[in-house]
Amino acid sequence: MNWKYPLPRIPGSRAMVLSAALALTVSGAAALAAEADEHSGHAASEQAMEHDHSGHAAPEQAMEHDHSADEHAGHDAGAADDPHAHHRAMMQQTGYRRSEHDYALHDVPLVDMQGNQTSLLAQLDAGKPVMVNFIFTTCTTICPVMSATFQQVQSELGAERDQVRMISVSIDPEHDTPARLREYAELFDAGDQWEFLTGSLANSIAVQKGFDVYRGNKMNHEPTTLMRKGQGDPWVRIDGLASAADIVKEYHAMLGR
Amino acid sequence: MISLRPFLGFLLFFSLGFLLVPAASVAADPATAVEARHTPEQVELGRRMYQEGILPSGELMTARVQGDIRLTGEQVICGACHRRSGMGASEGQEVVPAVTGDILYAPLRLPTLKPPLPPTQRAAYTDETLKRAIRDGIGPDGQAFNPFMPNYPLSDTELDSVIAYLRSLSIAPAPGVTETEVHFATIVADAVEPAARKAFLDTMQTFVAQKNVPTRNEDQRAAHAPWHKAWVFGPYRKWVLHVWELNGPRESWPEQLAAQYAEQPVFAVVSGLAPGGWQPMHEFCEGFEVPCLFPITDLPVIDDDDFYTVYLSRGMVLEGEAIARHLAEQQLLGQVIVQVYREGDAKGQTAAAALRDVLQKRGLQVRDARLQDGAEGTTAFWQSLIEDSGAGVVVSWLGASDMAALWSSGLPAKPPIERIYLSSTQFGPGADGIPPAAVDRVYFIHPYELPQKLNRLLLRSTGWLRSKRIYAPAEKRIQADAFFALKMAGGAMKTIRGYFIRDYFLESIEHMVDNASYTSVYPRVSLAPGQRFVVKGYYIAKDDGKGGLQAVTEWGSQ
Ligand code: HEC
Ligand SMILES: [Cu+2]
Repeated sequence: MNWKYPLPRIPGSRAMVLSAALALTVSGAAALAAEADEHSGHAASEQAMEHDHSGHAAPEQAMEHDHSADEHAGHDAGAADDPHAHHRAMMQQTGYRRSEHDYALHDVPLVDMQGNQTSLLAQLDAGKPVMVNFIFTTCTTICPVMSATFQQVQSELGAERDQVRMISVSIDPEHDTPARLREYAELFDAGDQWEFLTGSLANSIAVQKGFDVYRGNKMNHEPTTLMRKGQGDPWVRIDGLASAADIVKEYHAMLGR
Repeated sequence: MISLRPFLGFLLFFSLGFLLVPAASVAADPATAVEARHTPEQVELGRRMYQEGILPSGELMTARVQGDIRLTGEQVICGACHRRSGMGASEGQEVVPAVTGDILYAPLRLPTLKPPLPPTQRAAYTDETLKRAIRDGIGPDGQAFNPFMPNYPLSDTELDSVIAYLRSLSIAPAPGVTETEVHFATIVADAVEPAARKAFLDTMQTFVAQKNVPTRNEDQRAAHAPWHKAWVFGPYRKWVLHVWELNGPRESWPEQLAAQYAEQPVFAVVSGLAPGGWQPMHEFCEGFEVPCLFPITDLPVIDDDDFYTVYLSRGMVLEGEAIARHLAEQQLLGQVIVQVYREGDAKGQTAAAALRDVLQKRGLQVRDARLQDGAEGTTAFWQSLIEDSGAGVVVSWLGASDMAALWSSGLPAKPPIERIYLSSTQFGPGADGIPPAAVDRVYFIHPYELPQKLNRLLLRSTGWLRSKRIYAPAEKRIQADAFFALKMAGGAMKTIRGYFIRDYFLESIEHMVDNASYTSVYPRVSLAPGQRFVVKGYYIAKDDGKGGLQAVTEWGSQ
């Protein structure tokens, strides 16, 4: 189970208090153990359910009780997963991380912003360098900045932009219809070289997994940009928020300029 | 024996520092400060910048990220990141902090185990340091911000307005929350059938009653919380559920709702059941700024700008649009398409209008046939309908009894008919009564989990309902939807901890739904900021020959 809730800064730091306190006090450790028990107990009853096809056996009866009880006990698995620590880590880390990868990408059916059927490899292997990122149109945090970065990249590339293909894959394809993607593209002045892709949820997840950017669900995603010179070349992966100038610099370095 | 003294500071710190002081200080200095120093006009100008990205001059606000990335318009709206509530959010590893005045103007302490007072993680802002933060991205202690926070080239006067607005954002508990209780309402109209009403209210009331059983002595723990647990148990409130009954004509409902609210304000409305459109309730919740979670309706209000009502499904509009899309995919748009609905049936009418709209946008016509109020779907009706129009495709928004004459007429098995679409919401989710010769031409729009998979999907709620002896198998969807709304409300209450802010409560729902382990009668639910419908998919399905349905399309795919 991966519960991750939005935490305002203050509750976030209180979450850290809790995890610190739990780690350091005896009663806290006991409480932590109790929570862990409850989780495994819950998982067990769910498993029991899986095997129960009759629909009215004992395990399910017992189950709901502790499950709804856990809501007001206020325990929160997310509390141990301290967002503030991440936040600090993010802030201390200057710039971005660059790495190179050979991703074994399978061809996955997708839909472009005109509503046409297409596929991942058809989009990537168009005989041009490509840049890829992952967004969803109702994201309020990372994606607007990621998309504004792509917008800035296309303007910094100037006439050179016709030689590159930029691709933004929706990680919320159920909501991001081709029409919504067109609207979004317009918001960021996307030129002809910049395509937005959607499709089915399973296929979007397959693409995310192919690039190792899948983080469980759309609310957990991270800022990653990928680029490749041509078919058969390694992928350059940029994790973190890089400036448009950085991306253009990496792009030129990749092209060998 | 462990001395309690060192812990005392923490007890005070946690319970007062975090939970009481910010709330209390709203009544004390910041509030008076807002009044004394900022005019309502300033607050409004600040609101336009924060929530809409519009400068006092009327121009769009602009900003920079990472030195060179220019943002403007919707992308620079503070509320997009810090949210409408000002309580912030997190996505992946990015944490956007809370920016309400009372939080910013107090030191942010990162507590440790060393008494008596934890060190500050961030000094309290002053107007000057806050302006610098927004303009240059530098915190009160001089450290540079995370690059996700844009830099805003705003003038001093503009910044004064933003600050006036931030100070006006309150973390004081919303109406409907007392020190010990949180009030919720649910809505039931008198026209709801007795069996449905009972199944619904049983679910709502039993859940709340169980929630209030102090199985873990929450109320005691809240009062005598050990210091490190104060934040966990401090926010505990007993739930009080009010059933708002709506009687008589719909026109009088707004008044009835307002009167109920005046008598006892509620923090949120959870679920609800009323025939006809949800509009009166929707408008009430929007007007009174009360969250309204997951009413059970096929006729929601679809409005991108509204905030307070979160629905399960787009209902009949989704069904109409789904059929239009399937017709296009199956290349059936060249056929004569006739749709049938009953006059005065809001559901059928709404679905028909949605189908008509989509086809009209493509320059295509659909012929509408209405079954008069009081009339029955007779053989003669179907005969004349099909023969007169030469229909190749019939889309029926009718119930099973109106369809019986069509099945027995033999017409569906013969040309010109190629395809019949039924709504499983209206007709029922299965091929019962459809003759074998016709069944192959019949397709269902089915915006739920397939019938044969439903029992398994609902094990969690049926198990609970059975154990409470309130399970009503004939009202499966009602009980499942109500249970879903309650689970989500419970989860959101947990997430907001002691911050009983309605907007924050809704924002938590937006973030929680994708993680929901219970999805009611839908295979999948999903939500995101600004989205108001959790059901994104549907099946087009056919009879599977075993009493169930077989999907011919994928759920929720573009
Ligand atoms: C693209 C997302 C985004 C937008 C838009 C945005 N912020 Fe921020 N803001 C952040 C992030 C992320 C931080 C955390 C920075 C840090 O602490 O390193 C932050 C920090 C802040 C802080 C400091 C809070 C603290 O506790 O130190 C203030 C104040 C603030 N923002 C106000 C605003 C205002 C006012 C606007 C609009 C004029 C705005 N922000 C727009 C993301 C955003
Ligand atoms: Cu995002």
